Amino acid sequence: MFDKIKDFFKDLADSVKKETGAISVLGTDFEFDTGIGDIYAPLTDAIALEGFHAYGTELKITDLEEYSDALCVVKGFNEETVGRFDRIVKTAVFTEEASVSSIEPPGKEVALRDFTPAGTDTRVYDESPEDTSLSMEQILSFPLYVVRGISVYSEEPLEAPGLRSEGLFASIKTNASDRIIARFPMKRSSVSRENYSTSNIKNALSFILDRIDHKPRLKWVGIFRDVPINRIKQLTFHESTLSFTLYSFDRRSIYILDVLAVFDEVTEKYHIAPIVRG
Amino acid sequence: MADVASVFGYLGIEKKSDETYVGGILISDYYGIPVEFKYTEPIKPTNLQKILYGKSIEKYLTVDVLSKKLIISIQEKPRFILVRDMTLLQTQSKYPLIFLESIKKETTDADATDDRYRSDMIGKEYKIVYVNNLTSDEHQWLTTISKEIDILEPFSRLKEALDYVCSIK
Repeated sequence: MFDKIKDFFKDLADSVKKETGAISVLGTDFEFDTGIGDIYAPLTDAIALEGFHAYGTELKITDLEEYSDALCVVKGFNEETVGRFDRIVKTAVFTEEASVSSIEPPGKEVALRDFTPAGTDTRVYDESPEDTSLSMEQILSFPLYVVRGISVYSEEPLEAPGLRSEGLFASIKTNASDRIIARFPMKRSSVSRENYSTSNIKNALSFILDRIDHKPRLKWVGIFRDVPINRIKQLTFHESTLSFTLYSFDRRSIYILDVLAVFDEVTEKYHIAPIVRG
Repeated sequence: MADVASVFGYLGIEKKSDETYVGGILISDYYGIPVEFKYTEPIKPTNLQKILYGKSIEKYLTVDVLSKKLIISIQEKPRFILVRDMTLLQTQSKYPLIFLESIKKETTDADATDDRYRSDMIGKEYKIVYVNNLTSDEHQWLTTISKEIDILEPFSRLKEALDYVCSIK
Protein backbone atom coordinates (compact mmCIF):
# COMPACT_ATOMS: atom_id res chain seq x y z
CA MET A 1 0.00 0.00 0.00
CA PHE A 2 2.66 2.51 1.03
CA ASP A 3 4.80 1.64 -1.92
CA LYS A 4 1.87 2.54 -4.11
CA ILE A 5 1.49 5.81 -2.29
CA LYS A 6 5.18 6.52 -2.68
CA ASP A 7 4.86 5.82 -6.38
CA PHE A 8 1.90 8.12 -6.52
CA PHE A 9 3.88 10.98 -5.03
CA LYS A 10 6.81 10.26 -7.28
CA ASP A 11 4.48 10.43 -10.26
CA LEU A 12 2.92 13.55 -8.85
CA ALA A 13 6.32 15.13 -8.43
CA ASP A 14 7.25 14.17 -11.98
CA SER A 15 4.05 15.66 -13.32
CA VAL A 16 4.66 18.89 -11.46
CA LYS A 17 8.18 18.95 -12.78
CA LYS A 18 6.78 18.66 -16.25
CA GLU A 19 4.55 21.61 -15.58
CA THR A 20 7.38 23.67 -14.22
CA GLY A 21 10.16 22.29 -16.34
CA ALA A 22 10.80 25.51 -18.18
CA ILE A 23 10.99 27.63 -15.09
CA SER A 24 14.29 28.30 -13.47
CA VAL A 25 14.39 27.81 -9.76
CA LEU A 26 16.06 30.71 -8.11
CA GLY A 27 15.02 30.38 -4.52
CA THR A 28 16.49 28.37 -1.75
CA ASP A 29 14.92 25.10 -0.85
CA PHE A 30 13.09 24.91 2.40
CA GLU A 31 10.96 22.35 4.01
CA PHE A 32 7.51 22.33 5.41
CA ASP A 33 5.16 19.68 6.54
CA THR A 34 1.75 19.45 5.11
CA GLY A 35 -1.08 17.08 4.62
CA ILE A 36 -2.57 16.15 1.31
CA GLY A 37 -5.38 18.61 1.92
CA ASP A 38 -2.90 21.42 1.89
CA ILE A 39 -1.41 20.67 -1.43
CA TYR A 40 -4.31 19.27 -3.33
CA ALA A 41 -6.04 22.53 -4.16
CA PRO A 42 -3.23 24.50 -5.80
CA LEU A 43 -2.08 21.40 -7.58
CA THR A 44 -5.49 20.48 -8.85
CA ASP A 45 -4.91 22.17 -12.16
CA ALA A 46 -1.58 20.51 -12.71
CA ILE A 47 -2.98 17.18 -11.80
CA ALA A 48 -6.06 17.65 -13.92
CA LEU A 49 -3.84 18.52 -16.87
CA GLU A 50 -2.04 15.27 -16.46
CA GLY A 51 -5.27 13.37 -15.96
CA PHE A 52 -4.01 12.18 -12.64
CA HIS A 53 -5.90 9.76 -10.48
CA ALA A 54 -4.90 8.47 -7.09
CA TYR A 55 -2.84 5.45 -7.81
CA GLY A 56 -4.70 2.20 -7.63
CA THR A 57 -8.00 3.69 -6.59
CA GLU A 58 -11.02 5.11 -8.29
CA LEU A 59 -10.75 8.23 -6.23
CA LYS A 60 -9.69 11.36 -8.02
CA ILE A 61 -7.48 13.58 -6.01
CA THR A 62 -9.89 16.45 -6.58
CA ASP A 63 -12.53 14.46 -4.74
CA LEU A 64 -10.58 14.77 -1.54
CA GLU A 65 -11.82 18.20 -0.73
CA GLU A 66 -14.80 17.33 1.41
CA TYR A 67 -12.87 14.72 3.32
CA SER A 68 -9.80 16.76 4.05
CA ASP A 69 -11.05 19.96 5.64
CA ALA A 70 -9.53 19.06 8.95
CA LEU A 71 -6.16 18.67 7.32
CA CYS A 72 -6.05 21.97 5.51
CA VAL A 73 -3.79 23.51 8.07
CA VAL A 74 -0.59 24.74 6.64
CA LYS A 75 2.12 23.91 9.06
CA GLY A 76 5.42 25.66 9.09
CA PHE A 77 4.31 28.72 7.14
CA ASN A 78 4.69 32.14 8.59
CA GLU A 79 2.49 35.08 7.71
CA GLU A 80 4.45 35.88 4.58
CA THR A 81 4.69 32.41 3.18
CA VAL A 82 1.02 31.71 3.77
CA GLY A 83 0.29 34.66 1.53
CA ARG A 84 2.55 33.17 -1.10
CA PHE A 85 1.30 29.64 -0.58
CA ASP A 86 -0.62 29.43 -3.81
CA ARG A 87 2.29 30.69 -5.82
CA ILE A 88 4.81 28.56 -4.04
CA VAL A 89 2.94 25.39 -4.69
CA LYS A 90 2.13 26.31 -8.25
CA THR A 91 5.77 26.73 -8.95
CA ALA A 92 7.02 24.10 -6.58
CA VAL A 93 9.22 21.28 -7.58
CA PHE A 94 8.76 18.13 -5.66
CA THR A 95 12.29 16.93 -5.59
CA GLU A 96 13.41 13.39 -5.87
CA GLU A 97 14.09 13.47 -2.16
CA ALA A 98 10.46 14.10 -1.43
CA SER A 99 9.74 11.70 1.30
CA VAL A 100 6.62 10.16 2.59
CA SER A 101 6.10 9.32 6.18
CA SER A 102 3.19 7.67 7.72
CA ILE A 103 2.02 5.71 10.62
CA GLU A 104 1.51 2.08 10.15
CA PRO A 105 -1.98 1.31 8.96
CA PRO A 106 -4.01 -0.02 11.78
CA GLY A 107 -5.77 -3.29 11.40
CA LYS A 108 -9.23 -3.42 10.04
CA GLU A 109 -10.56 -3.72 13.52
CA VAL A 110 -9.46 -0.18 14.38
CA ALA A 111 -12.36 2.24 14.60
CA LEU A 112 -11.68 5.04 12.17
CA ARG A 113 -13.66 7.57 14.13
CA ASP A 114 -10.99 7.36 16.84
CA PHE A 115 -8.15 8.26 14.58
CA THR A 116 -6.78 11.79 14.79
CA PRO A 117 -3.80 12.82 12.68
CA ALA A 118 -0.73 14.08 14.44
CA GLY A 119 -0.63 17.85 14.81
CA THR A 120 -4.40 18.25 14.61
CA ASP A 121 -7.15 17.76 17.06
CA THR A 122 -9.72 16.88 14.47
CA ARG A 123 -10.72 13.46 13.63
CA VAL A 124 -10.21 12.34 10.12
CA TYR A 125 -13.55 10.77 9.96
CA ASP A 126 -16.48 11.01 12.25
CA GLU A 127 -18.44 8.28 10.65
CA SER A 128 -18.10 4.59 10.87
CA PRO A 129 -16.40 2.79 7.98
CA GLU A 130 -19.70 1.33 6.96
CA ASP A 131 -21.08 4.78 6.14
CA THR A 132 -18.45 5.72 3.68
CA SER A 133 -17.77 4.65 0.19
CA LEU A 134 -14.06 4.96 0.78
CA SER A 135 -12.02 2.01 1.77
CA MET A 136 -10.07 2.10 4.99
CA GLU A 137 -6.75 2.14 3.22
CA GLN A 138 -7.68 5.19 1.23
CA ILE A 139 -8.88 7.13 4.22
CA LEU A 140 -5.84 6.36 6.25
CA SER A 141 -3.40 7.16 3.56
CA PHE A 142 -4.37 10.72 2.81
CA PRO A 143 -3.42 12.82 5.79
CA LEU A 144 -0.12 11.29 6.58
CA TYR A 145 2.37 12.51 4.08
CA VAL A 146 5.20 14.87 4.58
CA VAL A 147 6.37 16.45 1.38
CA ARG A 148 9.82 17.89 1.57
CA GLY A 149 12.05 19.84 -0.68
CA ILE A 150 9.76 22.55 -1.99
CA SER A 151 11.72 24.99 -4.08
CA VAL A 152 10.52 28.54 -4.29
CA TYR A 153 10.61 30.06 -7.71
CA SER A 154 11.15 33.75 -8.02
CA GLU A 155 10.31 35.32 -11.36
CA GLU A 156 12.59 38.29 -11.03
CA PRO A 157 14.86 39.61 -8.33
CA LEU A 158 13.10 42.90 -7.75
CA GLU A 159 15.95 44.35 -5.80
CA ALA A 160 18.24 44.31 -8.83
CA PRO A 161 17.47 47.64 -10.59
CA GLY A 162 18.81 50.44 -8.50
CA LEU A 163 16.49 53.37 -7.92
CA ARG A 164 18.79 56.17 -8.83
CA SER A 165 17.87 59.76 -9.30
CA GLU A 166 18.67 59.59 -13.01
CA GLY A 167 16.11 58.40 -15.54
CA LEU A 168 15.72 54.64 -15.74
CA PHE A 169 15.86 54.72 -19.53
CA ALA A 170 18.57 57.33 -19.79
CA SER A 171 21.08 54.95 -21.29
CA ILE A 172 19.17 54.28 -24.52
CA LYS A 173 21.47 54.69 -27.48
CA THR A 174 20.71 55.69 -31.03
CA ASN A 175 22.48 54.28 -34.04
CA ALA A 176 22.81 55.58 -37.56
CA SER A 177 22.66 53.25 -40.53
CA ASP A 178 22.06 54.01 -44.18
CA ARG A 179 22.72 50.35 -44.85
CA ILE A 180 19.71 49.17 -42.87
CA ILE A 181 17.24 51.53 -44.46
CA ALA A 182 18.73 50.77 -47.88
CA ARG A 183 17.64 47.14 -47.54
CA PHE A 184 14.04 48.14 -48.02
CA PRO A 185 13.12 49.33 -51.49
CA MET A 186 11.48 52.61 -52.30
CA LYS A 187 8.24 52.26 -54.16
CA ARG A 188 6.63 54.28 -56.86
CA SER A 189 3.09 53.82 -58.05
CA SER A 190 2.32 54.35 -61.70
CA VAL A 191 0.71 57.64 -62.55
CA SER A 192 -1.81 58.61 -65.17
CA ARG A 193 -0.48 59.10 -68.68
CA GLU A 194 -2.65 62.19 -68.96
CA ASN A 195 0.18 64.20 -67.45
CA TYR A 196 2.33 63.36 -70.46
CA SER A 197 1.91 64.41 -74.03
CA THR A 198 1.57 61.76 -76.71
CA SER A 199 4.77 62.95 -78.35
CA ASN A 200 6.73 62.56 -75.11
CA ILE A 201 5.42 59.01 -74.70
CA LYS A 202 6.35 58.24 -78.32
CA ASN A 203 9.83 59.61 -77.73
CA ALA A 204 10.27 57.36 -74.74
CA LEU A 205 9.07 54.35 -76.73
CA SER A 206 11.48 55.21 -79.51
CA PHE A 207 14.29 55.31 -76.96
CA ILE A 208 13.47 51.72 -76.06
CA LEU A 209 12.92 50.46 -79.62
CA ASP A 210 16.21 51.94 -80.77
CA ARG A 211 17.99 49.69 -78.28
CA ILE A 212 16.20 46.47 -79.19
CA ASP A 213 17.54 44.39 -82.09
CA HIS A 214 14.52 42.16 -82.56
CA LYS A 215 10.85 42.62 -83.22
CA PRO A 216 9.43 43.10 -79.73
CA ARG A 217 5.94 42.54 -78.40
CA LEU A 218 5.65 45.35 -75.88
CA LYS A 219 3.19 45.51 -73.04
CA TRP A 220 2.50 48.73 -71.16
CA VAL A 221 3.60 48.66 -67.50
CA GLY A 222 3.28 52.27 -66.47
CA ILE A 223 4.82 55.65 -65.99
CA PHE A 224 6.65 56.24 -62.72
CA ARG A 225 7.66 59.57 -61.30
CA ASP A 226 10.92 60.67 -59.74
CA VAL A 227 13.14 57.66 -60.30
CA PRO A 228 16.86 58.20 -59.52
CA ILE A 229 17.79 56.66 -62.82
CA ASN A 230 21.59 56.57 -62.42
CA ARG A 231 21.73 55.14 -58.89
CA ILE A 232 19.45 52.14 -59.08
CA LYS A 233 20.91 48.94 -57.73
CA GLN A 234 17.88 46.69 -58.08
CA LEU A 235 14.61 47.36 -59.80
CA THR A 236 11.46 45.25 -59.75
CA PHE A 237 7.89 45.65 -60.89
CA HIS A 238 4.86 44.28 -59.17
CA GLU A 239 1.47 45.03 -60.66
CA SER A 240 1.52 48.80 -61.08
CA THR A 241 4.28 49.45 -58.58
CA LEU A 242 7.95 50.00 -59.24
CA SER A 243 10.34 49.12 -56.40
CA PHE A 244 13.99 49.98 -56.37
CA THR A 245 17.01 50.11 -54.12
CA LEU A 246 19.94 52.46 -54.55
CA TYR A 247 23.69 52.04 -54.47
CA SER A 248 24.05 54.96 -52.12
CA PHE A 249 22.07 57.83 -50.73
CA ASP A 250 24.65 60.34 -51.84
CA ARG A 251 22.57 63.00 -53.49
CA ARG A 252 25.37 64.49 -55.54
CA SER A 253 25.08 63.88 -59.29
CA ILE A 254 21.83 62.06 -58.90
CA TYR A 255 19.50 62.18 -61.90
CA ILE A 256 15.87 61.96 -61.01
CA LEU A 257 13.55 61.44 -63.94
CA ASP A 258 10.12 60.12 -64.74
CA VAL A 259 10.30 56.82 -66.60
CA LEU A 260 8.13 54.83 -68.93
CA ALA A 261 8.24 51.08 -68.31
CA VAL A 262 7.25 48.39 -70.81
CA PHE A 263 7.52 44.63 -70.80
CA ASP A 264 8.81 42.75 -73.82
CA GLU A 265 6.89 39.47 -74.00
CA VAL A 266 9.37 38.05 -76.52
CA THR A 267 12.43 38.31 -74.30
CA GLU A 268 10.44 38.57 -71.07
CA LYS A 269 12.40 41.63 -70.04
CA TYR A 270 11.40 45.02 -68.74
CA HIS A 271 12.62 48.17 -70.42
CA ILE A 272 12.52 51.69 -69.10
CA ALA A 273 13.03 54.98 -70.81
CA PRO A 274 13.15 58.55 -69.54
CA ILE A 275 10.08 60.53 -70.21
CA VAL A 276 9.58 64.24 -70.09
CA ARG A 277 6.65 65.45 -68.06
CA GLY A 278 4.29 67.33 -70.34
CA MET B 1 9.17 76.43 -57.64
CA ALA B 2 9.35 73.83 -54.90
CA ASP B 3 12.36 73.83 -52.62
CA VAL B 4 13.84 70.46 -53.58
CA ALA B 5 16.86 70.96 -51.33
CA SER B 6 14.82 70.81 -48.14
CA VAL B 7 14.36 67.62 -46.21
CA PHE B 8 11.65 66.32 -43.92
CA GLY B 9 11.35 63.44 -41.50
CA TYR B 10 9.36 60.35 -40.68
CA LEU B 11 9.26 59.35 -37.03
CA GLY B 12 7.92 56.01 -35.84
CA ILE B 13 7.95 53.84 -32.73
CA GLU B 14 7.25 50.13 -32.98
CA LYS B 15 5.96 48.12 -30.06
CA LYS B 16 6.50 44.43 -30.61
CA SER B 17 4.35 41.65 -29.22
CA ASP B 18 6.92 40.92 -26.53
CA GLU B 19 6.63 44.54 -25.32
CA THR B 20 9.91 45.54 -26.87
CA TYR B 21 10.01 49.12 -28.11
CA VAL B 22 12.18 50.42 -30.89
CA GLY B 23 12.13 53.80 -32.55
CA GLY B 24 13.45 55.24 -35.76
CA ILE B 25 13.59 58.45 -37.69
CA LEU B 26 14.04 58.61 -41.43
CA ILE B 27 15.00 61.90 -42.99
CA SER B 28 14.00 62.07 -46.61
CA ASP B 29 14.53 64.47 -49.44
CA TYR B 30 11.87 65.96 -51.62
CA TYR B 31 11.74 62.77 -53.72
CA GLY B 32 11.42 60.40 -50.81
CA ILE B 33 15.03 59.30 -51.01
CA PRO B 34 16.61 58.74 -47.59
CA VAL B 35 19.31 61.09 -46.48
CA GLU B 36 19.60 59.98 -42.86
CA PHE B 37 18.32 57.12 -40.75
CA LYS B 38 18.64 56.81 -36.99
CA TYR B 39 17.20 54.13 -34.78
CA THR B 40 17.27 53.25 -31.12
CA GLU B 41 18.35 50.04 -29.53
CA PRO B 42 15.30 47.87 -28.86
CA ILE B 43 14.26 48.30 -25.25
CA LYS B 44 12.04 46.14 -23.10
CA PRO B 45 10.91 47.62 -19.81
CA THR B 46 11.50 45.45 -16.79
CA ASN B 47 8.69 44.50 -14.46
CA LEU B 48 10.01 46.99 -11.94
CA GLN B 49 9.93 49.76 -14.49
CA LYS B 50 6.38 48.82 -15.44
CA ILE B 51 5.36 49.06 -11.81
CA LEU B 52 7.12 52.37 -11.29
CA TYR B 53 5.71 54.03 -14.37
CA GLY B 54 2.29 52.38 -14.31
CA LYS B 55 -0.05 53.26 -17.15
CA SER B 56 2.19 56.09 -18.26
CA ILE B 57 5.02 53.83 -19.29
CA GLU B 58 4.01 53.60 -22.94
CA LYS B 59 3.69 57.34 -23.35
CA TYR B 60 6.86 57.94 -21.36
CA LEU B 61 8.86 55.49 -23.45
CA THR B 62 7.54 56.49 -26.85
CA VAL B 63 7.33 60.24 -26.35
CA ASP B 64 9.74 61.29 -23.63
CA VAL B 65 12.47 58.76 -24.24
CA LEU B 66 12.59 57.31 -27.75
CA SER B 67 11.11 60.10 -29.89
CA LYS B 68 12.87 62.86 -28.03
CA LYS B 69 16.19 61.05 -28.23
CA LEU B 70 15.79 60.41 -31.96
CA ILE B 71 14.89 64.00 -32.79
CA ILE B 72 17.86 65.29 -30.83
CA SER B 73 20.18 62.83 -32.56
CA ILE B 74 19.56 63.80 -36.19
CA GLN B 75 22.15 65.77 -38.12
CA GLU B 76 19.85 67.06 -40.84
CA LYS B 77 17.44 69.90 -40.25
CA PRO B 78 14.03 68.78 -41.46
CA ARG B 79 11.35 71.33 -42.17
CA PHE B 80 8.93 69.12 -40.30
CA ILE B 81 8.58 65.57 -39.07
CA LEU B 82 5.66 63.37 -40.00
CA VAL B 83 4.18 60.84 -37.58
CA ARG B 84 1.40 58.29 -37.79
CA ASP B 85 0.74 58.13 -34.07
CA MET B 86 -1.04 61.09 -32.52
CA THR B 87 0.70 60.47 -29.19
CA LEU B 88 4.02 61.43 -30.74
CA LEU B 89 2.73 64.97 -31.30
CA GLN B 90 3.42 65.50 -27.61
CA THR B 91 7.15 65.06 -28.15
CA GLN B 92 9.28 68.08 -27.38
CA SER B 93 10.77 69.03 -30.71
CA LYS B 94 12.32 72.03 -32.34
CA TYR B 95 10.85 70.85 -35.62
CA PRO B 96 7.09 70.88 -36.28
CA LEU B 97 5.51 67.50 -35.79
CA ILE B 98 2.65 66.63 -38.11
CA PHE B 99 0.33 63.67 -37.87
CA LEU B 100 -0.53 62.52 -41.39
CA GLU B 101 -3.05 60.00 -42.60
CA SER B 102 -4.91 59.22 -45.75
CA ILE B 103 -8.58 60.02 -45.71
CA LYS B 104 -9.10 56.96 -47.89
CA LYS B 105 -8.96 54.89 -44.74
CA GLU B 106 -12.35 53.69 -43.59
CA THR B 107 -11.62 54.64 -40.03
CA THR B 108 -9.53 57.48 -38.79
CA ASP B 109 -7.01 57.38 -36.01
CA ALA B 110 -6.91 61.11 -35.76
CA ASP B 111 -8.92 62.60 -32.95
CA ALA B 112 -8.27 66.28 -33.25
CA THR B 113 -10.94 67.26 -30.75
CA ASP B 114 -8.14 67.97 -28.28
CA ASP B 115 -7.77 71.73 -27.95
CA ARG B 116 -4.04 71.47 -28.32
CA TYR B 117 -4.34 70.19 -31.85
CA ARG B 118 -5.20 71.78 -35.14
CA SER B 119 -6.25 69.84 -38.17
CA ASP B 120 -6.19 70.57 -41.83
CA MET B 121 -6.28 68.91 -45.22
CA ILE B 122 -3.45 68.36 -47.63
CA GLY B 123 -5.12 68.30 -51.01
CA LYS B 124 -8.08 65.95 -51.07
CA GLU B 125 -6.21 62.85 -49.98
CA TYR B 126 -4.59 63.56 -46.65
CA LYS B 127 -5.56 64.83 -43.28
CA ILE B 128 -2.99 66.42 -41.01
CA VAL B 129 -3.04 67.20 -37.31
CA TYR B 130 -0.40 69.29 -35.63
CA VAL B 131 0.27 71.13 -32.42
CA ASN B 132 1.92 74.38 -33.38
CA ASN B 133 0.87 76.59 -36.22
CA LEU B 134 2.14 75.40 -39.51
CA THR B 135 3.31 78.24 -41.70
CA SER B 136 1.64 78.61 -45.07
CA ASP B 137 5.02 77.96 -46.63
CA GLU B 138 5.38 74.62 -44.90
CA HIS B 139 1.79 73.73 -45.68
CA GLN B 140 2.39 74.51 -49.34
CA TRP B 141 5.60 72.51 -49.39
CA LEU B 142 3.87 69.50 -47.85
CA THR B 143 1.09 69.80 -50.41
CA THR B 144 3.62 69.84 -53.24
CA ILE B 145 5.43 66.77 -51.93
CA SER B 146 2.17 64.90 -51.53
CA LYS B 147 1.49 65.43 -55.22
CA GLU B 148 4.98 64.37 -56.19
CA ILE B 149 5.43 61.14 -54.23
CA ASP B 150 3.40 58.69 -52.19
CA ILE B 151 4.04 60.60 -49.02
CA LEU B 152 2.99 57.75 -46.74
CA GLU B 153 5.22 55.15 -48.40
CA PRO B 154 8.40 55.91 -46.38
CA PHE B 155 6.50 54.95 -43.22
CA SER B 156 6.40 51.38 -44.58
CA ARG B 157 10.16 51.38 -45.09
CA LEU B 158 10.68 52.78 -41.63
CA LYS B 159 8.53 50.03 -40.11
CA GLU B 160 10.33 47.34 -42.10
CA ALA B 161 13.68 48.69 -40.98
CA LEU B 162 12.64 48.73 -37.33
CA ASP B 163 11.28 45.19 -37.58
CA TYR B 164 14.62 44.21 -39.05
CA VAL B 165 16.51 45.93 -36.24
CA CYS B 166 14.48 43.96 -33.69
CA SER B 167 14.99 40.70 -35.56
CA ILE B 168 18.78 40.97 -35.55
CA LYS B 169 19.04 41.83 -31.85
